[in-house]
Order: sequence, then C-alpha cells, then structure tokens
Amino acid sequence: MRIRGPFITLFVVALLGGILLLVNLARTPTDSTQAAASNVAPVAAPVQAPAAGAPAAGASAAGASAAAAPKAAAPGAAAPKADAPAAAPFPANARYTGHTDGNTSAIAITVKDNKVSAYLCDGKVIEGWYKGNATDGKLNATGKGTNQLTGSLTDGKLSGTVSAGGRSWTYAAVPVSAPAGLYRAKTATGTTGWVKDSNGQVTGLSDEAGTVKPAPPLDTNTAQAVEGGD
Amino acid sequence: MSTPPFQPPDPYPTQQSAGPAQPVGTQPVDARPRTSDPKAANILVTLAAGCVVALLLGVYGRLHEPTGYSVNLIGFSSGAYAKAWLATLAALLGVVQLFSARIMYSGGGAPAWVSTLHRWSGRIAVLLTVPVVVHCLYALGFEAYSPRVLVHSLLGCLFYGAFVSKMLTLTRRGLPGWMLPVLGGVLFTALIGLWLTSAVWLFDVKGLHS
Repeated sequence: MRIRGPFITLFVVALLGGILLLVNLARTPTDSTQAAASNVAPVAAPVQAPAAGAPAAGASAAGASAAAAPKAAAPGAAAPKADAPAAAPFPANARYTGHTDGNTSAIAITVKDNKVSAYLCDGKVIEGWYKGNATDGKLNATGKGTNQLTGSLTDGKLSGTVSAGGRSWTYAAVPVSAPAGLYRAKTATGTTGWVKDSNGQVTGLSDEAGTVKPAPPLDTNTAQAVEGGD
Repeated sequence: MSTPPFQPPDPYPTQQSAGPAQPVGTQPVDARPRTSDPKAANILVTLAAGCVVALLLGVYGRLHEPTGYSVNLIGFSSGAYAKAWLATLAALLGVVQLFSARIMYSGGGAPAWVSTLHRWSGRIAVLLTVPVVVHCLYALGFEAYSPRVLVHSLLGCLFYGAFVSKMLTLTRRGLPGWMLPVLGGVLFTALIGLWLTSAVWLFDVKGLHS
C-alpha cells in the first residue's frame, strides 16, 4: 500500500488531466457556441464515469470524485445567452466594452448611425478589428479573413460571439461612456488598438507590418476615439 | 552521509536520459563520488523523471497555440476566479502538508492519522490543481510577457516535475532520507509561489470575490 499509493495518485492525476484536456479539445471547435455547448453534455457524461470508477481499486477513489465533481458541472456553465426576443434598437451613438468568456480578451464595440466598429484584444497575441452594421438591436461585423462579430442587445447590454484567427468566443459587453471606449492610433507602418473599459483598465496591441507587439500606453488625447464606422 | 549535492528538479534539464551506469563523466561540476552506487542511479532516475515531466509541460505550454478558451466551472464569475479559488484551496492544503510533514519528521513517531492526513491532503491538493493547470496550459500557455507570468510559468512546470519525483521517491527504496523533505519543500514553495503569482494577484487586481 505504501508503495502502490503514489503510483495510483500519479495515475489519477494524469488521468484527470487527460480527461480535462480531452473535454477541452471536444469543446473547442466552436463555429457555433450553442451547438458546441449542447454537444458537450453527452460527450462529458460518459467520460465522467470511468474517471470516478477506474481508481476504485486504490484508495484514491474519493480524491478522484472530489475533483471530478466540479468538472461535472462544467459543461452547462458557459451556456451562451443569445437571440434575445424582441431586441430594442441601438442608440444613435453608443460604446460598449466587455470581455470574452473566461475573461481572456477585452472587446470594445462602438455603434454610430447603425455603423459598427469593434476591436477584440487579449493584450498578448489575439487581436481583431471588425466593421459592419447594426439594425434592430442586432449587429453583424466582419474583419480580416474569417473573423466575425455578431451581437444582440438585451436590456441595453450586448452579447454574442466573436471570432479571430479561427477561434471563437462568446462575449458580453455593457454600455460605457467616455473616456472608456475604443481607441486607435495609425502610423505609416502599423495600427494600434486599445480597449479602455469603464474601470479604466486598458488592453491594447500594436500591429507593426503584420507583427503583433505590446501596445504603448494609451494617450486618449492623441489616439483616435473610434465611433461607429470610423 | 556521503550524499551527492542537492539537485532540485530543473525544469530545463541538461540530461534527460535516466541514469546510465556512469552519469559522472558528462558533468564536470558534479562532485558525485565515482562509485557504481545504485543509490546514485536511483536518485538520478527519480529526479530525471520529474525533469522530463517539467520539461514536457513547458514545451507543450510553449508550442501549443493558446486557445484563450477552456471549459469553465459553474458558480464563478469567470474561469480566472474558478482557478483562483481552486488554487487557494490547494495552497491551504499545502499548508496542511507542511505542518503534517513537520510532525512526521519531528522524531519520536507521529500518530498514524498524521500520515493519513498528509497523504490525503496532498492528493486532494494536487487533484484540485489539475483543472487549473489544464486551463493554464490549454488556454494560456507558457508565457513570458511579464516577470509575474514568467515566474508563474516556470513554477508551474517545476511543481509537477517535483510532484512526479516525490511520488516516485515514495515508491523507491534505498533513496537518501533528504530527498523526500527536499522535494516536499520544493513542491510547497512552488505551490505558494504559483498561488502568489496568480490567485493573490487576481484578488489584488480585480477584487476578492467568487
């Protein structure tokens, strides 16, 4: 027992890690987040059973199920709320900031006269600019390549999905007022974008001739505050 | 105690092969006694396994393109907070580990429940960290864009390497007595370091809530 226990511990840890990784892999290709979320439930459930059952021989069963319990709850966690009924129209001029699920990227969306500009940025490697239209509380915008942004307005708040570089996330954003919003600075060689949220937190990146770099500090006096179709 | 000098499990080991007969010649700085001591090979195998695990985690974290997305846990405002609280629980259990180990090594023999407590608090602590590290590796990756992030990435690799070495140490006979407490100390230090550079940082920057 003294000798076997640590091996069982190692095995259970590796097993749990592997299962979580597989669940992640199963969930990631999200062309439609809703479809993915509904797919995961049946996938995760059978995977769950061996996790708790396998180490039954060893003393680690309780440990495995203790850690498995929060995981069981995971699939339903990120249920996206989309397609709100009877969406209200957008204000003539509005700014929204928010973040993607998991808080990995910040997003700023501006709407003016039904024109949309938006910027997604994780401050490290992911960024995307989007332009499009907003009508009847729904917005649709596209960016470079297959990058796409959709959103709908519910009780003044904006939520939807955004994709960049082949990956997609759900996001939620709330209306903000200046100085929060979307900022951009263009030079001869590149473009820098910043998202400034209502707490004053700034997330930005620079694209210098196709290479993504950390953004310089945001100076709201010199950077352009982007509005609508700017 | 003609023990070789202490070698913490290096996340970037220079030798990955598991202890050949003469591991000495390749390492000029290594003042290991030139004996065909099976103990030396035993130590090397145990530590090298941890090094390999640490290295593999780091390489995966670096090469795998971060998805920025991972399965979330219910009941938390975001994945980051779920991770922070799991890590906090693990750190608390780490403190239990420290004190139970202290009693076990105090001499004079510890009551049986102390070793049981040590064993189970350790198991649960490591299992709690698994969802966290999967999210870290899968969604975020090994990054170095700030000192905090670099230290966190390195400690994460060190933690699991030390964990593997420590589990293997438990299963092997004839290892020097210092290995277990040293590896345990590395584990505890790494865990607290990881917690400070992630959960405490998050609570500090974004507030203490769930």
